[in-house]
Amino acid sequence: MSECAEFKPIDQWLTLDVTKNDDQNIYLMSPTEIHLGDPSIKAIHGGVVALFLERVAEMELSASGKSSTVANIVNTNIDFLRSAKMKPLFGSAQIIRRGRRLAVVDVIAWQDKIDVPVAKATVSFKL
Amino acid sequence: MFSQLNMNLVDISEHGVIVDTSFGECFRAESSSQRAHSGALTIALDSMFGLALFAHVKELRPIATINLKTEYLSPVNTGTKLTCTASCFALEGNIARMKGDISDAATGAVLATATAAFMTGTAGPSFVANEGA
Repeated sequence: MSECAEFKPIDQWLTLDVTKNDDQNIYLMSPTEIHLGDPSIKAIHGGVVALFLERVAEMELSASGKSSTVANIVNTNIDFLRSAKMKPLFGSAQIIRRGRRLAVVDVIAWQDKIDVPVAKATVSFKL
Repeated sequence: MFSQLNMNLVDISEHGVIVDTSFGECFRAESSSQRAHSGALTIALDSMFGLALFAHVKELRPIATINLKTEYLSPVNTGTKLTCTASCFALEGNIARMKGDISDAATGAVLATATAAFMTGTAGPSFVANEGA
């Protein structure tokens, strides 16, 4: 795992890592059999994709923060666009709004191409 | 995934499912506390929705989550005994609407609620062996 990011214990279960690409953080999870959802099509469990999207939003918010304010997720809206196969899953986030008390972050996840996302989410935080 | 989440089936019918669970240490949000990451609740709810949908339609056909909205009401610690409920409240054609929640088994306090839309009969082989043979 990259040392500069703020990883949490759950990130080890999630196999979460982060790299930089042109000043944008790109998040990655490498699914294993514990993340398997539908075995018939070898897809990552939808809840695991959801967790990945939430962690990407959290880490992006934390990376952009000017203070160590704890951010708690209020709610998450996720659209599953395609089945996420059992292969590396990438994610990136955009902070739509960061106020004094609330923040909203949009996240996308993809596998082969960024313009063919497998899921997207909007995560709302209480700061 | 059910074993990952220590889920034990309490009741299942076409009207819904009830499952007991507690989150293991691997789902901790922070190194310094026992608080579980909220995403663990979403994993549990998504799993429950799938099970409840199978129970509602009474067949094991491929399904897929279309969308999922989770409201996190209160934090939960790893090891805390939880009660999860889920049910299908509408099925129109191949679109199923699900709702569910997770409560503290001891106090009954609702910790998270969720709604979701699922599609039934999606691409993929049937779960039933030798079907069509």
